[in-house]
Amino acid sequence: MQSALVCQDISLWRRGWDGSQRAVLKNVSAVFKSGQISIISGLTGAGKSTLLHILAGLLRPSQGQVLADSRPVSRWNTAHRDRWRRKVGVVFQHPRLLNELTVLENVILPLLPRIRSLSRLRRCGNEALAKLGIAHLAGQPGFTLSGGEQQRVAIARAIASQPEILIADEPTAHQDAAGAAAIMRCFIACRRPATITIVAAHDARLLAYGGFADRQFELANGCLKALP
Amino acid sequence: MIRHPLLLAVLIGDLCSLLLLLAAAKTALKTVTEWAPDSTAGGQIRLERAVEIGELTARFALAAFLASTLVLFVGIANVLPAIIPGAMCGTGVIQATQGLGGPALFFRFLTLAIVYLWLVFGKLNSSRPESLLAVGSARVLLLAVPFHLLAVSTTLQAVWRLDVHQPVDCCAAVYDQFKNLGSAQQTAGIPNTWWLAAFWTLSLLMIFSGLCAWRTAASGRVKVSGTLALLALLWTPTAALVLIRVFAAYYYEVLHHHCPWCLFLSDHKFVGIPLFFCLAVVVLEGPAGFATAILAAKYPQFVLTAARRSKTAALRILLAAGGFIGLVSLPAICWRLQYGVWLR
Repeated sequence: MQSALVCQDISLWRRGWDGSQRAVLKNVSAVFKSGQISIISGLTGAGKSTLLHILAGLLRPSQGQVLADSRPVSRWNTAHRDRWRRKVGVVFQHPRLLNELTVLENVILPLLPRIRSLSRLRRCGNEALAKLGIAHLAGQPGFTLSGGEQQRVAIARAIASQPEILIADEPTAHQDAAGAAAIMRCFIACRRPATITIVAAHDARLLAYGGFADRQFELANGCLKALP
Repeated sequence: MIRHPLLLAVLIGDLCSLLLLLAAAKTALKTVTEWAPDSTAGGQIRLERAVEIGELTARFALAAFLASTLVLFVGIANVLPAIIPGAMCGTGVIQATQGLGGPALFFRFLTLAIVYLWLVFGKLNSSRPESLLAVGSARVLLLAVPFHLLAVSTTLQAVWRLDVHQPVDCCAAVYDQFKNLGSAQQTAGIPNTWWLAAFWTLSLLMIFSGLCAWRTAASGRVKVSGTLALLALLWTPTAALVLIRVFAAYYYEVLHHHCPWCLFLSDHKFVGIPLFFCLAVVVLEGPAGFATAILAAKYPQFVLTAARRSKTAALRILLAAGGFIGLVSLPAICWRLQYGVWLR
């Protein structure tokens, strides 16, 4: 069980096209507690996705560290960090489904290293799809889905393993009102005392949805500040 | 120098491994001087990333060096004797390098031994996420660099000096070592029977010590592993000596042909490969087991992993020593049963 995910003085520099160093994140510090949904908002290009990738252990910061249960996971060597990442479910901005596989196969793919029994795999996959209201798409190949449906499959893929940390990048970007509401309900349903949920969004519906977010942060010019 | 494809492959492999090792050594040097695990500053985070890349680079360097060493070994033992006039085995080839072949092989083995120790450190280090042994591991890698440079430069010189026009006499190199029968039956002034007795005594002690190290709990491992390492380091040269001076006769079926390279010929079923492999395992695993036991005593975080590695080292030593003893004693026993005498 993760008690908190802590960003400690995180900075990230990227080399620009002219060779100069550009700070994407500047000394970001924050605590994301378990049992809470935290929203990070900010303008396009503010660095939300980069911050989420760092929190998910997909990217190393240039400075600072990410602590999970007081352990500096962002500084661990790749093998150990990869093992820790099994506790993290990530919804990427682009769904990145494997188009040749069916929806159910896409969802159960990240479960393969953890679950051996095929029937259990199917059950977990179908449960995750049902939470998003897309159980009827289970047998369809990925390339037949619309953008919004693909995004919901990607969310099902992230929550299928019941991760301790759920990180979602613009999960409602391609959704109509009903779809966005279904996703928000799903996130609320996934909110367990042991789960840390972090959502990056500039979708006004997410920000305005009552009772969805426990905490809000705003990322601007590479700096993160907590909103009251 | 001859432009034999095999020798060119060795030189290219050596050059690649040298470049890769130097790249890894640059990071290792930075690790030794700048490693600050408590800092989260940019320099330390960059260094942590560089250490991972450096480890990978050093592994590639080791692979390239190991491959070139194997190619060189096969070349000396089985390919080049056909090209060098008068050479019947590796002894003739080494003779044709005008004294540099032996040192080249020695430096190669020393480099491989140090890098093997580095690999053991690295594996232990990666068993924990905190990279506690980063500095120690970097130091061991840096230690390998001068020996690697020596190995590559000596090999290059040996290949350069390889004379294929001047005939060699490899049998003379073997038989000129003794003037009469009495000197053929002793080494360094000590009779071969004494060396044989020393070999059996050390073998028994090492097997006993290996069994103790295999069964000892994690707490009392340093002393037992240290004894085993010391015995392994004493046993290996003694075993190599009695192999060449005593046991080789049962493979060659000729007395006083004290040549190690002939064991690698197809006429003798390449028996030198498993025999010298067993010796290499013993001499590498002895210090490896001891080093892991010391690390376990120094870093309690590694107690279980290090104890497991130390046990594995003991088991490997037991198996290798058992394999060697079986391989050398079986032909001797067969000979004794068939002809009723020992060859001496």
